Amino acid sequence: MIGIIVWKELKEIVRDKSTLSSMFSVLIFLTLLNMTTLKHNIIFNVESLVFYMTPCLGIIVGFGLSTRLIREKQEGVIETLLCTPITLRELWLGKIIGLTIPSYSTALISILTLIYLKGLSLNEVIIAYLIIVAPAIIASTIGILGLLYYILGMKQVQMVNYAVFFSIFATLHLVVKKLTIPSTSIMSWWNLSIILAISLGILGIIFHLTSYLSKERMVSVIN
Amino acid sequence: MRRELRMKWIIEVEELIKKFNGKTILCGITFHVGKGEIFGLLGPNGAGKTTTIRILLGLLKPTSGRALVLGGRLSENKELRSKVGVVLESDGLFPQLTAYENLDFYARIYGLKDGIERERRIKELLELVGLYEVRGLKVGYFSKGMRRRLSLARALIHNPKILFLDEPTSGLDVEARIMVRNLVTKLSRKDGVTILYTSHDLEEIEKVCTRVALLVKGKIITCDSIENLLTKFSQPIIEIYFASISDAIKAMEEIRKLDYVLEYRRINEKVNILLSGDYSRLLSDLASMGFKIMEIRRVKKSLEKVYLELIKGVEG
Repeated sequence: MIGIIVWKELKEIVRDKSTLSSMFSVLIFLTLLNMTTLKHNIIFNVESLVFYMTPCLGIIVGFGLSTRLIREKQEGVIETLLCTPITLRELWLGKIIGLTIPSYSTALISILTLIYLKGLSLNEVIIAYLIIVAPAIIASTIGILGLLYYILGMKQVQMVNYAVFFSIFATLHLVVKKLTIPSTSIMSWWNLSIILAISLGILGIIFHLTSYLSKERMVSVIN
Repeated sequence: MRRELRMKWIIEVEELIKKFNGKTILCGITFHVGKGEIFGLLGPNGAGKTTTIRILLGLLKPTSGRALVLGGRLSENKELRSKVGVVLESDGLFPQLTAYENLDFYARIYGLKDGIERERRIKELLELVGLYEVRGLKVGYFSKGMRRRLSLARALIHNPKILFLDEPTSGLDVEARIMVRNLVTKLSRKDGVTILYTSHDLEEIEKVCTRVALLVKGKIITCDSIENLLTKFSQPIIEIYFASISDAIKAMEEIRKLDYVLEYRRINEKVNILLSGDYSRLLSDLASMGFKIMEIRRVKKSLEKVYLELIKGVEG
């Protein structure tokens, strides 16, 4: 069941123009960053670049894509889905995986391109972070957003969106500064394990919370 | 014994109350729907029709009372949900997917695993609703009527035992309305599908439904078969054709003196009369007065007139 939902989400995202615009904005951001660093001859710290930028880019794209959940709620598609044999947990999980795959893929491609252009090299800790930890961080953030979008009314969702939007920009502002600071290694197996455990813990908690989601709240809290 | 009695009904609504933000939407409504019935829920906007359907579908929780489908609650039972098809206010379709892909998604969700069987079923339904030619087109480009037809196909993809159709013909042209009407009747008569149907088109309800419940301000005013409802709530109008216009004018003079005649109107040689009692008395009276009657017709009021009178009675 979850696979069917994931496949449907991916198909829709690939055909959706808003997906292309989200990815396009990430690419513009990346180009600007590259141009600025070239101009000022800034040397990147590869660890900081991967550590901060991968989840940030993934979350930006995921945030753009997750508005699809609001649209489905507003248009009443969710009502029909809830009348099928799908459970709320399957629906949530299917959608989160479906949104995480393109968000993570965009972030990964962008970071790998930047690393290639800058001629930076990766070690096994960074690779493990890119392949395991970064998608977990992105998935847990999209998971929280998904849960909030399902239980909140539209006015509250709007407030959440503003908060997320400003948080992303504030984080990016701080992150860009950190990219060039000489490294006191932030990438260790120990750090990675902690971040992974926190991300998976958040996902687990939300997964558990979905069984307490009220269908009535989902279909009746529109405004 | 109790279980046997309960199993007789496919849909059971008993003493159902729903309050929302302190406002009572449903005030203890009760009705039952048997196998193969097409049960119509009638009522003005805000009467509680959609709320009733949403509670039955497990989308809303009742404040008190029972709303069971096949003896269980849909909200708690995945198996039961797989036996139900729905057409709600929203079409439940994905605009970025094609008509074929939309049906394919729902077919998979309902467990149609065999690819060939799934393809056959989708083709059959798309042809049935007249959308086979546009199966490769994104639903986002469809008109409202096309989406509504596809929504009906979606609801039928898994051969449901029960159908909840909330205004399935809204936005459809005359041809498509007739198609839906015929389809619904066939599903009920041939396949024994139980259908809960709401519509604002009373002519359609009259043609499609076997029984109806009239819901006004969260209360059921009446619940009966269409035939009983028309007999119970409408005094038949008698059309009497006289030999000539002058005969009809003379008869009018006499008819207005009769105390059991409520209303009368002449159109050429025809006189329409609304009576408080049986029309045989009128015929014998007219015969004793020497009038020659050419033809008599008994005309029933339409459901629309009965509906409006009942609503007026409750609201006025």
